[in-house]
Amino acid sequence: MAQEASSSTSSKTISLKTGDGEIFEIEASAAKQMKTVQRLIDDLGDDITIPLHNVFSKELPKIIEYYKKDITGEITKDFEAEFVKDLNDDEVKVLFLAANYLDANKLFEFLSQNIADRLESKSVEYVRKYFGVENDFTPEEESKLREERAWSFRGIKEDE
Amino acid sequence: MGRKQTKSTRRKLTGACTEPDRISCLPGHIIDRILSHLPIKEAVRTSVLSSKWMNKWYTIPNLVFDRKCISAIASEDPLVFESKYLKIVDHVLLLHTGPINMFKFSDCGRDFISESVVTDIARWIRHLIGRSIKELVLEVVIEERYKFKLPRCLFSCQSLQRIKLYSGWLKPPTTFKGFRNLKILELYHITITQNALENLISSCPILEHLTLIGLDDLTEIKIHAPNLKILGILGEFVDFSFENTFQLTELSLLFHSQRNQSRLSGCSSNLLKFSAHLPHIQHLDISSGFLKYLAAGVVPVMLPTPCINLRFLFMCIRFNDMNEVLAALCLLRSSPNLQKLEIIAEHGKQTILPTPDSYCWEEIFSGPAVPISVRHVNIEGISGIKFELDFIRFLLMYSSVLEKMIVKPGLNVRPELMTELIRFKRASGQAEVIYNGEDSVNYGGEDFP
Repeated sequence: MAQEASSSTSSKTISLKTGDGEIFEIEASAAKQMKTVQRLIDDLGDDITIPLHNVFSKELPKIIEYYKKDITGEITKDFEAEFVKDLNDDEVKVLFLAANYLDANKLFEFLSQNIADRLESKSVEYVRKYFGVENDFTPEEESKLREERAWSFRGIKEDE
Repeated sequence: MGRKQTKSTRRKLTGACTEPDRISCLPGHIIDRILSHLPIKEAVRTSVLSSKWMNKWYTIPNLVFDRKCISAIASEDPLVFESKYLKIVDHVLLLHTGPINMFKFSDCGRDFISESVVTDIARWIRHLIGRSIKELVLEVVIEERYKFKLPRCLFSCQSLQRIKLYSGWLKPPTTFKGFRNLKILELYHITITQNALENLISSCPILEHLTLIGLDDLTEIKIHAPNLKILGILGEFVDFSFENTFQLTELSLLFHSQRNQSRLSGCSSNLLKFSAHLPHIQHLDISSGFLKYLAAGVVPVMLPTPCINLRFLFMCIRFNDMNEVLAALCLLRSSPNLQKLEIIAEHGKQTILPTPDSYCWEEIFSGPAVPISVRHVNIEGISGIKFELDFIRFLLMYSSVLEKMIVKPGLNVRPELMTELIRFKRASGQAEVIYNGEDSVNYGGEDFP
């Protein structure tokens, strides 16, 4: 199947291979929105399967779903709310990191907002676990800081 | 480390780190993005996560103080609340470093009663100017008696791209040369002289969006803004004129009433003068006060140059004033690409012109040169007087691609109104007329042959 190396028409599809070996198809116009993919296409050509080492079969379909909607200009607040509704915090994090790796800006922005929304009113311990941060404060240092910023701690439910 | 790992984290990665440390190992810009989306309260709390995180939030680009910020102190005594709220802003500004993109301070609907808010805000503004502030949003209503004057240094801040103010006195110094980078200006209930406002507008070369709400001391204003795309004026009637505003795409003129009808010239119509300035207009909102102003002079049946870009039209019409009806009809006939029409029927307290008992339908409701292209129509507040019914009849008769018309009656509606509406002839076979009365029943176009 002879492919042209020139810029793709809107109906062209690109093959993507995830880090765990599965292959997915996306439209070329959707691929354009993921700068990492586009760069690989520019280097390797658009008729070979693009390898994505850091993205896996669990999250890529969801990302493809988002950009399918994006190229038709149909992304609404309702769609975005639906999109993340059934995802837990960790699943969103994985998607977010994948969006970062793919340099998919729109999704990245949306998910960073969603993560921020989810972390609101979560306890400090929860946020530490989420970001993988080790607490290196002494108990005295920590309580001093908390006191200084007491206004920001009101109304938060702390973990037991 | 004994931390429970979820299914999704049990994956070998070829990155530098393994889950769950992936995020904290990544470049700062990722953490910064998330931090920038956190409400200020949450951002400040991240200081406590670890010593590395203590000052990560210090460089967030936007500082927004609103309901989310005050949720914990909101229930306290007003003076205590105010004092605590102002201290929070001071605390954040003290720790924050680097440029500030947006500063927003909202009074959250509570009246500020202490006078210290005036000095505090002035101090914040001075501080923000030194941080290359781009968007200054002060949604604070300050009592008249405090005479809150915006500090003079504000007028030399050339980083500003957006200014939104809810109250205060604006008195630009004579040395004021304009805001080079200002795109958006929103002034609510500001005290400013006509001269100062006109100068302010005309000296902002790239101004695109101007909103003037409740500037009721002004009686006249000339708007010179060659790049203006969006203009909204709401409040008491103002005799305004455009100079060089040909880029306007969105215009809202919602005047409560009209004070002086000094422009009542017998020959040329205000409508003609008005529309000549708006070749690109896409979205138009007009109150009945302004419609009456447009109707002064002889109202043409149709404008010589149609508004070919107009897609959305909102009008408040006092249907017992024939002039307003004529002006509305003229606009409709001159908008060949209109998609959506919204109308609110207003009933003024004073009787203007008595509705003529009989008039010639053809004379007033003559058909448009091309069919009206509107697809969605919303009409609210009608009571069933003749002009209202004829207007609706006109719309149904000449809108060949109408999809949906929703009619919501006002109080004191004649009960026969619904039956009369349904009977009107429709040019569009698929038109649905929905009557949102007390018992909302839909009468679809298909039900009636």
